[in-house]
Amino acid sequence: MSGFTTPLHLVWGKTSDATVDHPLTPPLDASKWETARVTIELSRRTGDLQTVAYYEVSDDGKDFTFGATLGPTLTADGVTVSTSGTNGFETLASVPSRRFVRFGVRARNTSSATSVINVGYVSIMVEPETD
Amino acid sequence: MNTMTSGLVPLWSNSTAPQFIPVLGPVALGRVATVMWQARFTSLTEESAMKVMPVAQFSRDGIDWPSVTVDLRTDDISLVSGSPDAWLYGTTPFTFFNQRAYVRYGFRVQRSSGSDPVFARVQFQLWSKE
Repeated sequence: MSGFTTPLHLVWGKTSDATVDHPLTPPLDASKWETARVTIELSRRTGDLQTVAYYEVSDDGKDFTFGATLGPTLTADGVTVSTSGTNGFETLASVPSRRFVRFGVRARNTSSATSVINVGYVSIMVEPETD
Repeated sequence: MNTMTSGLVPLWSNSTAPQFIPVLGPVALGRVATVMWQARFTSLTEESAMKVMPVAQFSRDGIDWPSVTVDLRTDDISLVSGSPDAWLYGTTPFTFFNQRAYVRYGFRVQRSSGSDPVFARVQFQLWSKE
């Protein structure tokens, strides 16, 4: 199975330094995603927006539970790719025995201004490890 | 039965004044159309701050869109939760009669109160039968 790249999406952080999760894929068959390498590109970032890829899991494709972040956090416009695991393919520890997984971007606005929401464009490429 | 699914569309508002944000269409419409729909909301930035109403808007030529919209529910939806998904459904088929030639679907969005920006994302899916 080959990987995929999402379209460009607008993402945003939240005021008060809280995180906002942005699921950017539909539910995927979890059995095919026990490991993954994620590349994330952030562009046209405003203010203090930070982004990191993540995955979450589900048994019904509707209610999801956060799994873990994947790869480094981007604190400026640019591209980064997972470096942990073998050749960047990280083990998705929450996936085994679950039916669905989906990938997204966790955004954080580190601005101290309470009424400011910062935004940016992101795209993620997700690759499964192949034998 | 035709199925249409929007992309992942950002919604935002910084006012209690309602604003229409199109998310799906336009498509050609027969004289009568019955639709059912569902929507998935994510990534809300402020709990209980945003009200949304799924609506249809009609046009004779698909270019000019009169501001009048038709509600697909009887009441506004208040988005409550933060990052967890919120799913909403049209519980009964909704039928248009004698409308114009093109339709697009979207959400009328407004803040519940206040004026700071509030953001959310929606994916809208619709089943239509003419």
